[in-house]
Amino acid sequence: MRSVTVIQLAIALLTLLIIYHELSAFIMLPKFIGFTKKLVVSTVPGGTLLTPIFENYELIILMILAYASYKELQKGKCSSLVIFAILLYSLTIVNCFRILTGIQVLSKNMKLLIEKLLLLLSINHNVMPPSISLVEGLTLITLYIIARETENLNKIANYLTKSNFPHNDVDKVTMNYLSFLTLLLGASIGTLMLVLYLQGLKLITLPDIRVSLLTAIMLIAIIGLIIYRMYRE
Amino acid sequence: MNRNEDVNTLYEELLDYYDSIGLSAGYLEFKINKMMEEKKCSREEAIKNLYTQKFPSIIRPKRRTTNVKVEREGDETSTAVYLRMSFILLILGVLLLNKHYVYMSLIPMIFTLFCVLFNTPDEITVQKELSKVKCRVDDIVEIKVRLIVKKGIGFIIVRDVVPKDFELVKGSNVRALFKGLKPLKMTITYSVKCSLKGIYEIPPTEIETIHILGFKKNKYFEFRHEGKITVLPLAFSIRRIRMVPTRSSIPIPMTAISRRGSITTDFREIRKYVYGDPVKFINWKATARTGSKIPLVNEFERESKKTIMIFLDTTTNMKYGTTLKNPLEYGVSAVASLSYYLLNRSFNVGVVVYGNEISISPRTGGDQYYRILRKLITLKTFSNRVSFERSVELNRRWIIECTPLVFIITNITRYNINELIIGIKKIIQYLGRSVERSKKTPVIILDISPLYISANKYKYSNLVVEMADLEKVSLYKLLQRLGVTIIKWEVGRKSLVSAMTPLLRLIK
Repeated sequence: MRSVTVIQLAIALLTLLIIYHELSAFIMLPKFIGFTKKLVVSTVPGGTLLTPIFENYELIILMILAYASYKELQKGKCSSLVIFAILLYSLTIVNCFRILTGIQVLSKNMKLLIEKLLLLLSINHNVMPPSISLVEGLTLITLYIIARETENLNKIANYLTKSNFPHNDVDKVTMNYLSFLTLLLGASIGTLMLVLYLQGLKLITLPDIRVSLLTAIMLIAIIGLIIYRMYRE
Repeated sequence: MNRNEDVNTLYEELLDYYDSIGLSAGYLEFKINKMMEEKKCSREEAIKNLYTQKFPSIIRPKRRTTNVKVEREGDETSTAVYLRMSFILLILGVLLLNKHYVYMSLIPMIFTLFCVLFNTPDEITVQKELSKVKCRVDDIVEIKVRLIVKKGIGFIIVRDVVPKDFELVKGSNVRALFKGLKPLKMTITYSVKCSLKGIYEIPPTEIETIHILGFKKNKYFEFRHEGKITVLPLAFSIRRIRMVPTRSSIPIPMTAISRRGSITTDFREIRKYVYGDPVKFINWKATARTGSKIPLVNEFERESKKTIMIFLDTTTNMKYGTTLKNPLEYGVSAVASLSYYLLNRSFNVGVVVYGNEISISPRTGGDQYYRILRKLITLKTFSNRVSFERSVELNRRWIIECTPLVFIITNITRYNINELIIGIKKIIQYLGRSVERSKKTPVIILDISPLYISANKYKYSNLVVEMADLEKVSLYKLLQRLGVTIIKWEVGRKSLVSAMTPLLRLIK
């Protein structure tokens, strides 16, 4: 039980670090905060007192998130923070949505609006280069899996403890489960790394996804069907 | 409450029960389906049957207010979430030509695919060993369950059912295990105390296996074991205190010779012929000498000593206390202890269980002890079928023929006092002249007073009990007028040995 809490704490800390990094990558965010600061100082009497808050806005956000995650951790949960981090991460790679502007059916005004919206979410690539962004994305998805599994494990461990199972058993089950989870995740990431390595050798050309939409949908449907059948069994 | 609501309530209570012992709702469904198949009945009936099996008493288990449940079935599994997430990311990656999304989608997908490769734990073998299958009440039996799980990965919840009325004293009969890549070999050891006499079937071992991520359905196994556990009633080793020989205060000295048993060559006396006496024992010379119209017969000494008849009350009068601690259970212990003590000293011992109409004719020897025990083990129900008076009538043959010392083991109350008085008067009547000569009647009542069983539980309860106990004094006086010896056993305050000591002093 204690080991699960320690792992959840580590997940929360790592996620907060990633969030901090993501926040610092947005170009428009400091400008927006600066504009709000000016507005508040000029309109609100004694607004100058609030300047430290605007200057250290990242820390303030992190503190709020840390408090929220602390409350979650007390309940044995931590996946919400990771989901928030994943959503924030999606905003950092939103530039890829630029493809939407290429859609012929959209009107010129709409395309302009999308461009402006995308401009708001533009990223400083010196702070977050694509390689770091990829590592962050993979870390976040791995953290999400661990967070969810630790939550489930917490539920099971609580259930076993309340049902008068021997404490020794609960500890052993927890530890074995965690080690098995590590093994599975290790295998998953290892497979992905192998894919990336093979891609480096030009055996797989994943970045050039020139496959048609129909082929992609068919591929997804086949994999989905296989998994669904296995699930039914 | 209509019928459906009633069944739902029973179902919920069963669900609570299974939850409390570490089994999920799926296991309950498995049991219900099994019962439906076995008995070919409807679901409602199966639930009712299962309920009466689990809770045979009329007292329903209390609903627990706090209830933690892990919904492992019907709940959205982690795998479903991962797959959904993976597909969303993959679709986004393909549509938006973003490799980050594609790579991200691969991790949950590969993770799930790895998990799919593993099955729910299966191919289970269970062996159960008991340190002894024949024991006495309060004995401790060590149970070993050897478990081998060959295939699959995941959680295993083992529940080795403890027989009803057994108490867990060491270890745990419920275990949660984790089956990894290697085959799992495990020996679960725990000890139970037999709290109540009886013959019990060795209960089954119930196993629930859960997939590592809940991806596949849980599996349920029930391993039945052959054999039975026999729990004999408790017999205390009563020892008589050695004292200087004096005249016995009751008309049954230890050296008294029996009127039953095989005839020896030792001449005892000449007496008048009684119907049934063998012709070869008629002393023709003595008959001719006295000129008696009734022939005289030679009587020889018999083997073994006097006969003792033990009357055990199993009427509802003994229904006080709990299922484990009640006058009947203590009474059975007393019968076992007394018969062991007396049979060891070559007495003829007969047991009459009134209420349930069981009668064991007076005999001596080790066989008789086990004969008595066998009858006592299965004795569980309280019944008012045969009254004490009627029981005395039915067994008058032994009383007339053997002139035994009669032990009555009961709980004297105002409700059974009249019945006891009438019965004892009948015994005196059957014993005839042998009693008239003595001031004391050869009847001893062991009064098992259940008032003290839970006397120390509550404040002032001791005081209340002592006041209630005063009633017994007046009842004793009524019985003592008949020359009956009464020994009071305050269960919970005195042990049987200390209660019996004054009784055994009487048998000198």
